[in-house]
Amino acid sequence: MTAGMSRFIMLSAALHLAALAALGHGTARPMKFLPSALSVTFRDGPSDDAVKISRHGNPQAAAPPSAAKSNTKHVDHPMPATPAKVAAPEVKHDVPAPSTKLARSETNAGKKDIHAKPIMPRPTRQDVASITDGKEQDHIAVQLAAAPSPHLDTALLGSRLEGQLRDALAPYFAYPMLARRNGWQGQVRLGLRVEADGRLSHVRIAHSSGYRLLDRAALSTLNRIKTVPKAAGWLDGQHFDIVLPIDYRLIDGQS
Amino acid sequence: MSRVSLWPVAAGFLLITSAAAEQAPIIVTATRTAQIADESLAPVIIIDRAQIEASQAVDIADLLREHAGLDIGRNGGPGQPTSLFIRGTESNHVLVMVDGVKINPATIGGAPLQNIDPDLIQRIEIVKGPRSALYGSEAVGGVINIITRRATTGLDYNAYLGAGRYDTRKAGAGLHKGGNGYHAGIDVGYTKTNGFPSRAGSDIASSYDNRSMNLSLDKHLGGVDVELSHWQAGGTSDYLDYTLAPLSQDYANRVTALKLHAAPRDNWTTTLRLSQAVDNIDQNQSVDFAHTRRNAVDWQNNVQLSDDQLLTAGLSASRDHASSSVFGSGFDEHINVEAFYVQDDLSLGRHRLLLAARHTHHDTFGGRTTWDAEYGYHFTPRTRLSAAISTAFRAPDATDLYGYGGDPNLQAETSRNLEVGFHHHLTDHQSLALSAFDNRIKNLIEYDLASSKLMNIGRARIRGIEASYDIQVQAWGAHVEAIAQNPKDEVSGEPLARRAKHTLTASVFYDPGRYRIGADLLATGKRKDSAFSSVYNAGYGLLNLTASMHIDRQWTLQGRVENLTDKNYTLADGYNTAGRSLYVELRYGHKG
Repeated sequence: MTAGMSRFIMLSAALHLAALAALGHGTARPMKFLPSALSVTFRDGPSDDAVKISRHGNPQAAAPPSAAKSNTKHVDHPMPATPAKVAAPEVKHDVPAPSTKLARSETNAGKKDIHAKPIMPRPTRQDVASITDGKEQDHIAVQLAAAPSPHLDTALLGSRLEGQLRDALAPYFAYPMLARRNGWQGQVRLGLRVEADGRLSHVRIAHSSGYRLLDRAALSTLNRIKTVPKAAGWLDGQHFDIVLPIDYRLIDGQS
Repeated sequence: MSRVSLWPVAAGFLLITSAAAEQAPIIVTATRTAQIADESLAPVIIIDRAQIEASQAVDIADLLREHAGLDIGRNGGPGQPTSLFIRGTESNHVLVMVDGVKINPATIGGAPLQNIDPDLIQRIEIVKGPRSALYGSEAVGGVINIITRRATTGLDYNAYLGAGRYDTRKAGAGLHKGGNGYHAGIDVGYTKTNGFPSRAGSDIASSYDNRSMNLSLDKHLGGVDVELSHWQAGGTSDYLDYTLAPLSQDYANRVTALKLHAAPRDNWTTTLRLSQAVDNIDQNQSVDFAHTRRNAVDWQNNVQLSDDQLLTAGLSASRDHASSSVFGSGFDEHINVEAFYVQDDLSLGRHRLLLAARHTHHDTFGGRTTWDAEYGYHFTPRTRLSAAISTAFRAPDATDLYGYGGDPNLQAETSRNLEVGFHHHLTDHQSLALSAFDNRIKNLIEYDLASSKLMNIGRARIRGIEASYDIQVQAWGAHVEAIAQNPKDEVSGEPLARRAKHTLTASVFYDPGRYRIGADLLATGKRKDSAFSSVYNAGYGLLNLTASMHIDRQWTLQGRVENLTDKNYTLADGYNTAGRSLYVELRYGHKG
């Protein structure tokens, strides 16, 4: 080892410490400087048109039901939320089930999850704007309260919750550097529960991407947030289970 | 998949899109990069397969010259000795690799870019600026990694046949297959041209032929990816000596590598590579030759220490066998080089910090430590400012050490570069980059007339600014690059030879799908021809046109007009360049 090398290592260590001291503050903070146009793209729920159609009792006409069934699981009414009983610690490949009924419905949904390829209508900018609009949220709440069929509500609620979740997570997503170097890609499915008060619980990997580094990156991204904003107002005292698919994909192009 | 937004975080772009047909997953994307582009915040040029095919370039040098800051010097037409100067540095200040294996000869000069057939190449990555902190010797002005074609999943095969001016003929074919746990591929290419007289004042054409082959086989064996690859180019090149007498030389370039790649842990990947690179030139009218054989072992590890930190560490050892005979006198030497290097890549929110260091031990002159510190700051997801300071070196080559006027006690040429850069995505399809650099090089090995031998006496300083702009709007695309630099010999105060102060390159294409048309413009200022003469080669503008048409899913007809305005220009004083030339090519490709 030459003197130059030692000097470099010292310099490197000093710089890193300085950087950590100066920037360490920043790690806890998300990069909250997404231009608004970017955050819009996270919302991918069914359009209002689709919701209207399904409300009139023709779920087949609208694409969301299958998507909703596969992505979001309905908790049967009027099942009381019993998080204390269910509170199995974060189990990786098992769903903590409050009742046999729920467990069955989750299993079915899980199967569909893998095979179903529903067509999801893409939201237009207008749709998105209306979703974020405060009045629209009130409208949703009214719809929920007065909804004739619980299934329709679930589809709508699921997509609303997912939209919120995506927005909340957006600033935290990053492609793991090692995965990028090695060309690792895949889809991770995260299972999670939105508690009645909006808190997240029962976060687990429902389906592995095939690379544990990607699985863990997705999991740690989700763990960055504790609650789903506005969810408590929509949930009406119940919890809601969601499976969130996250695709890690590499594309060709200039860096 | 529709691209909706671009989100360049430290590790590249994070692209979040909405998928229409699936169940709307959150899509996190990053650009796929191979080694060298990802390890730096420095300006990177990537020439991909589509661009290579569209350009219909005869050799790699033709592709490189379309980028400002990459000056080409060439002693005649195809196959003639070609020098590349990146950002005003010397032609032996560019490290050139084929699939990550160094191909620079140990005897003398830069890598033989004139012998690399673009039809066997998948992509070319060029990083401007010093990279010695990871790659050691020669990476003073930049690094080029030439990635050969590889099989992807499924079966594909292709063939092509072309012809053009100066009795140029081209033919080649490729076959690739990939399946469960394996990939295999072979590509062959043949080029022959009658050419034109390499030197002014002669009417004897300097012909050239090139037979190239690329083989690769990889298989997943018990958790380890095993890859065996081989690339080679060989042929004969005619030239004219200084008396205009016609001579010829045979050349052979080969790279063979065995690579083992594994992930011992979730966050750790390790790669072991054994390689051999060969660069041989043999004169046909005399016994003179220049041979290099380099055997190397590289072991590289990447460890993701946390979500924000990637550590790279490696060891490498190589043994060069350099032998040469020039007018009867020569050498036959072995040079051993060992090195270890480490890089830390830290991303913290808007900040990215890259620190690297390498210690290289050369048999001949001893040790050299090079380092690199880069910092990037994202003002917004689309805007990044960066600054870097790096050191680099070039080890004296075997001719410097043992050739005519050589001295085994020569030291390495060393450099220190400062750089600032600005990168901005105006929209998803429009980007702008600016950079400024100041590269000081000392201990340059030059011939000292007083003592009649080579000495570490030269000094150079190159200051410059570069800009590039890229836009794609539906079927249209345009790319513009410009450089203003002052490559200066600090001892004599004169400009450095064959490097222009100003260069502008521009390309524009229209590709609605069924056909593609494109134009490339290169405008460059005057260049001093050599350190020993006062001759300046005049500035010139060169316009090339390309067109291709897809006859059906398999067949494509394409053509190229080089030097449309028939400009009479000079890359090296006393040597000719191609006039207006037309080339036509028919390609067949099947993807299963």
